[in-house]
Amino acid sequence: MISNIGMTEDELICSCLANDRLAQRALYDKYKKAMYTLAYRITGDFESANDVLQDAFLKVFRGLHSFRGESTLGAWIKTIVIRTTYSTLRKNKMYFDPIENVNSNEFLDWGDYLNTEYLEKAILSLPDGYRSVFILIEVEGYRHKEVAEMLGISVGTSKSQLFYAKRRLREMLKDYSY
Amino acid sequence: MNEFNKQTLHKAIASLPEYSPPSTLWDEIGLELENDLSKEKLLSELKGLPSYNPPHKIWSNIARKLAWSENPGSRKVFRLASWKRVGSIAAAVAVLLIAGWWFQQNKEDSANRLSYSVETVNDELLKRDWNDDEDAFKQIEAICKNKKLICERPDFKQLREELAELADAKKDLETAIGKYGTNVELINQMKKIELERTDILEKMVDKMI
Repeated sequence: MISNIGMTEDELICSCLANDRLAQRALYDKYKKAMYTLAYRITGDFESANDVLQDAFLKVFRGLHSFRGESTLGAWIKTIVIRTTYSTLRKNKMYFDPIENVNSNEFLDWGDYLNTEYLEKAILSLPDGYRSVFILIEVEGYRHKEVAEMLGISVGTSKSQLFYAKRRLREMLKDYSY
Repeated sequence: MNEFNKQTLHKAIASLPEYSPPSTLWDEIGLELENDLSKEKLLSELKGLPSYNPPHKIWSNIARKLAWSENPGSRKVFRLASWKRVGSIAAAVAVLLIAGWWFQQNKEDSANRLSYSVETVNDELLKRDWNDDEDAFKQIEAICKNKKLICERPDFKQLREELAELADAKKDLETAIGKYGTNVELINQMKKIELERTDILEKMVDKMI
C-alpha cells in the first residue's frame, strides 16, 4: 500500500492528472477503505462492492479533470461511489416502497445498548431501498434533500424509506438490545 | 416518529467495522488505466495519419454518371469526363447544325426538307455569372500573394489546375457558341462549367479561412 508519498492533496491531484500511477495508487489507498465499506453496506455483498469500487475509482481517475474543488475531494469521490452503487442496484431492480402515510406519532426506543454485530446483520437484511436511505442518512450523515438528489427520488420517499428502515431494524433488534 | 435513546443507535453505528478491498482490485484498476493510455496514444497516432485528395477526374466521372442517372437516354447529355473533350463535342454539334442549314438551303424537294429550331438564350446573363466569379478569382489571387503557404499546398494547387481547365473548356464552348449561334445544349454545358467553377472557388475560399 502506498498511503503517503509526501504530497499535498492538490499535488496528488496534479500528479494523478499526469497519469502518475504511484500518485493514483496513493489516492486510491487513501480512500479505499471508507468507500469500500460504504459500497458493501449499500449493496449488501462483497462481490458487488468489489465491482462498485473498481468502476467508481476508474470514473474518479477518468473524470478528475472535472473536479472543481467545490467540495472536498473525499466528498466528490464519495458521491461517485454512491451513484455507482445505485447504478448497480438499479440493474438488480432496487425497489423503493411506495409512499404511505408516515405515522409521525409513532414511538421508537433504541434502548441503552445495541449489539454492533447484530446491528450490522440487521442493516444488511433490510430491503435495498430501506438500507440505502438508512446508510446515507444515519451512517453517512446526508440530509434527505441530498439523498433525494443522489437517488433520483423525492424527499418524501427518502423520509418514508428511513421511517420503515428504522421500524424494521428496531423489530429485528428487540431481542438483541436492552 | 419519536425516537428515544437515539444516541444508542449512533454509538452502535460508530462501532460498525470497516472493510478493505482485496489487494488484487488495484491491479485491475491499474490495467484499465494502462488500456486508457494505450487507446489515447493510438487515437493520437491515427489523427496524425495523412489524408489524400482524389484526382479531379473522379468528380468529373461522378457528375457524368449523376447526369445520366437523372436523364437516362431522354436528353442529349454531353460527357464531362474531360474538359478538353467539351470543345471537340461542341464542334461536332456545330458541324451537324451547319449540315442541317445547308440541306435547308440547297434541297429543293420539300419532302426531304430538314428543319430545326434555334432557341435564343440571353448570353448577357451568362457573361454576368462568369464575371461575378472572375472578381472572386482575382481576390483569391491577390490573397495568395500574402498567404503563400496555403496557396502552395498540393490540394490548393490542384484546385487552381481545375479552374484553368474549366477556363479552357469555356473558351472552346464560346468558340462553338459564337460561330454557330446559340444552342441550348451548348448553353447548358456552359452553365455546368460555371457551376463547377463556383464550386471550386468556394473550396479555395474555405481553405483560406
